[in-house]
Amino acid sequence: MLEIPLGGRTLGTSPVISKSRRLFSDRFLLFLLFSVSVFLLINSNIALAEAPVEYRDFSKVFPVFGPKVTSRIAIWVVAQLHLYLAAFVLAVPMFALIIEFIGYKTKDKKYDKLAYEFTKLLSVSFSLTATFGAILTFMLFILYPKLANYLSSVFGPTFFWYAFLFFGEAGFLYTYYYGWGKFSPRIHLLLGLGLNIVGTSIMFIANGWVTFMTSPAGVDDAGNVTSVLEAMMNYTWMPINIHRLIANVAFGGAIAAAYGAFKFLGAKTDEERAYYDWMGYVGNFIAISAFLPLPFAGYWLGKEIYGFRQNLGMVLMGGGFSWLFIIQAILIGMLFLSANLYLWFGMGRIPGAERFRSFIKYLLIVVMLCFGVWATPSSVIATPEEQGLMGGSQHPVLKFLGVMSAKNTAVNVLILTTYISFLLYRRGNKQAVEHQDQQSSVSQLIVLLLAVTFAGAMAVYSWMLPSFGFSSEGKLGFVPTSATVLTYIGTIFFSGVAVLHLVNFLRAKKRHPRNLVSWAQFGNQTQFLIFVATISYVVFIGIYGYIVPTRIRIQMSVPQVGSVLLTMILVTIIDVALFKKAKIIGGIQWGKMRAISQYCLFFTAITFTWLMGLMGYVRSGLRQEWHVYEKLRDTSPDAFTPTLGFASTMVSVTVILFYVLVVFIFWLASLSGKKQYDGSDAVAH
Amino acid sequence: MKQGLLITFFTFFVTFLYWCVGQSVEQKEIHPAKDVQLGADMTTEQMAEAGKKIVEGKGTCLICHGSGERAPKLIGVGERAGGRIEGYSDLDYFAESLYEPEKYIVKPYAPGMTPVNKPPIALNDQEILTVIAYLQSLGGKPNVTMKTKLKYQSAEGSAAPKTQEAAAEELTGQQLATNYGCVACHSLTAPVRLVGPSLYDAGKRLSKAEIYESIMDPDAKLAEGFPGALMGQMLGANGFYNKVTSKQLKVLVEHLASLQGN
Repeated sequence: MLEIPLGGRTLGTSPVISKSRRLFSDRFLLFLLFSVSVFLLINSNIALAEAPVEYRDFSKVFPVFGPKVTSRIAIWVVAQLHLYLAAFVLAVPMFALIIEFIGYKTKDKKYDKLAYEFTKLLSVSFSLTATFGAILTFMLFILYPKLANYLSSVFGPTFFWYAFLFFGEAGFLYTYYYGWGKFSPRIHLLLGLGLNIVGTSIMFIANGWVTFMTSPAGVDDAGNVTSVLEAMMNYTWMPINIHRLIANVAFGGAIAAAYGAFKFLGAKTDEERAYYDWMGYVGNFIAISAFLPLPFAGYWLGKEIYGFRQNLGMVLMGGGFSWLFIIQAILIGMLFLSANLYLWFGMGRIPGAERFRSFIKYLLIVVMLCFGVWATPSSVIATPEEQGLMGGSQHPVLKFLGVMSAKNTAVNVLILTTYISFLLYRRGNKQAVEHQDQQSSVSQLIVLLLAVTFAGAMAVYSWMLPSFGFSSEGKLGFVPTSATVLTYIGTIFFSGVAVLHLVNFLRAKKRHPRNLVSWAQFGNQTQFLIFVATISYVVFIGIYGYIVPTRIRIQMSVPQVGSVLLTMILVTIIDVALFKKAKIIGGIQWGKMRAISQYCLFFTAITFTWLMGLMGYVRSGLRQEWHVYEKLRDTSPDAFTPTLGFASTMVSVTVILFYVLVVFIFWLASLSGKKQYDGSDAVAH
Repeated sequence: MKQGLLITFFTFFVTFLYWCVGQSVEQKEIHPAKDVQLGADMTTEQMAEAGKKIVEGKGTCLICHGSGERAPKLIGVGERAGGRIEGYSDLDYFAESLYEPEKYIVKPYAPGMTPVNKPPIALNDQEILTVIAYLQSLGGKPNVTMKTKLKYQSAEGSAAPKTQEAAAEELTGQQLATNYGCVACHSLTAPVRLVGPSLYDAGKRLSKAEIYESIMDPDAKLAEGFPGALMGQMLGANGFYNKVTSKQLKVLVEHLASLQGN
């Protein structure tokens, strides 16, 4: 091991990876990159030539894998593994950079050590990502030559940039990792920034290729390219960019947390346990923080798919993939459950958190109820006799929970509940106190104005609802009169909340000896009122959604989700101010966690991976019998949408294969912690 | 080691859990809709029948027009069409709705329908005529024929469609085997015994001449374990020997000869 001195500080140790092993992996990677670049260059030059073969059967080209492994299956496995690894490789530098920056600003060595430990997982991951990317490229050209040639004819110029940026990423990544502690902190941070910019650019280019297949642009009716830029920046490009950026962070955080859990369970000392417990917490925090805004990116993607082609949107949500979204709902519900469970377990290591233990059962009930609503399908699988009894494929009562109104309501309440769990965790060992040095109430006044405006906006929106019209097929039997009553109730209620905010502020002011408003008196009540208003608003909009036309109901998801986001921002601002100089009851006892809590982290990582595989399938399967929607048809024997059972099998296989690779990555990363080989077991001659 | 095994078991268990969820939902394989065979000699009633199949299949019309939430329902549209736009007959209205759907949008629906003569639907002019015939039949009386001229028809699309016989000559070997019912008794994809022996490796075992003989004179050489007379009787009852053309026979024999059992 080497000590890394840096400006007088010792950061820790860096692994001594044998020079020959390091150079071997670097040379291998460079060779791989070179081969792929040459391959792409050659094929992009001959791309315009008519490919004589549209499709080749993998089982005939590579019979060693058996007759069941068709071209679709082969590409599916390789592409998905490439995506899993690429997501990890792009995500880790993002949060490693942020954590390193925090360490730089706070001068706390443990953040730098944590960032370095996360980055340790990167070098092998990067090589594996490149390997699978190369295999995928070769396989596409061999098995689907017509598709590969067509995409080359459209995106040929971008291949140069892709290969160029790839070399750039390799350069930044290895310099960032091996140069840890060798440069000044600012230079090292800049290297990390460069790594992130280049990595994100690579993803954006690849996203252009894949989104073009769903929503082609920049080509004429015959499929000839008219603008490469337009082809790249098609309808679904930016939504996928944002969605993947956020999802990568969530996924990468979950894998990093799983690594922390893995190391925690194998830790030998209390110090190690404390460190890896903290690592698991940070990884999970990153994962769940990125997970919460992810549905909004998904909504945007869905909206753009509908905007591009309505029938694509209908196939996605109402056609053959509708049951897929029930599976997705179950996975997301499980994620929320495990996120909350981990936080509740975590409260066990915080002295003072036992004050909030009584809330956990109520939070659990809310989570389970929302999960139930979220996972209820619109129509149920039933025998003909059962359908006859029900009067159709829809259950007479449960059918109302299977529509968007109920689902949006449930997921928004789930998000808020998870956020409340986090708030309780955060304030577990803190007690807000009055401060006599309070200078003014300006910040409290600003928060008051924001809270009143927020509640006022809810009241105004409630008042406007009848102007949106009513559905000709109103569910729940509402009639316009009932809707008007609902509107009055909503408007009065939210106006009342706005008034209560003001009353709360004035009372807090009156109680203060210097007529100021302290956070300790004002903050909690304000947060409580904001939560009451938002949860009521989300439920109110959910109920009202049953009586408006479909297109209005879809639009109402925006104020629902917007109110939840605003709530989290506003409440966080108040919370930070409220506990800025709080009395600390006791320090967090890192390491004092039950082993079962670490399995929450494994569960989260596996669930994220499975969810990612499922969503990858729907993105690809949405095109149905088109390679490039409306431009290039799939004429292979696999040009059909398989059953969800088959898709589940494929996703499960890729998840298991991915975790075999992850074990390999973790094992390699853990080698740095092992003693140097000293030859003491060599046989004496 | 023990922890490692526990973590491995846990990973498999959770993956298996989600796999089970995937197996328990509705299982549906969705294949692209087959082309409906049309002929220049179809009557209006036959056109309406064919149009119904296209609306329910290749046209994907019911994805949006089925529920009435995103697009108007089609029930009674044949009656409504004539009075929709001033100066338009029902034929004009249907033609514009199919070729230029954004021109007139029924309230309160929003634009979003793609022209049906372009991808992804890509119906040809004859298929569109049959769809119009079907739509006219919903509450009205269809009056289009395969010779009806619409202003939107392209030069290629307005060429007379093949007769049904001509269309039948272009079927592939697999399609012929399906259409003539071979697959009802013989498996072409697996070494599975059905009513007759599997043909999935016919090309490996038999020469083209032997395959031809097996079709035209099934009792000349029987596969071991299978009774005689059955195939000949069934093919005769189906009218196979009267319907099959020499070109189709050639295509069918070529296809069976290509089956090597891989």
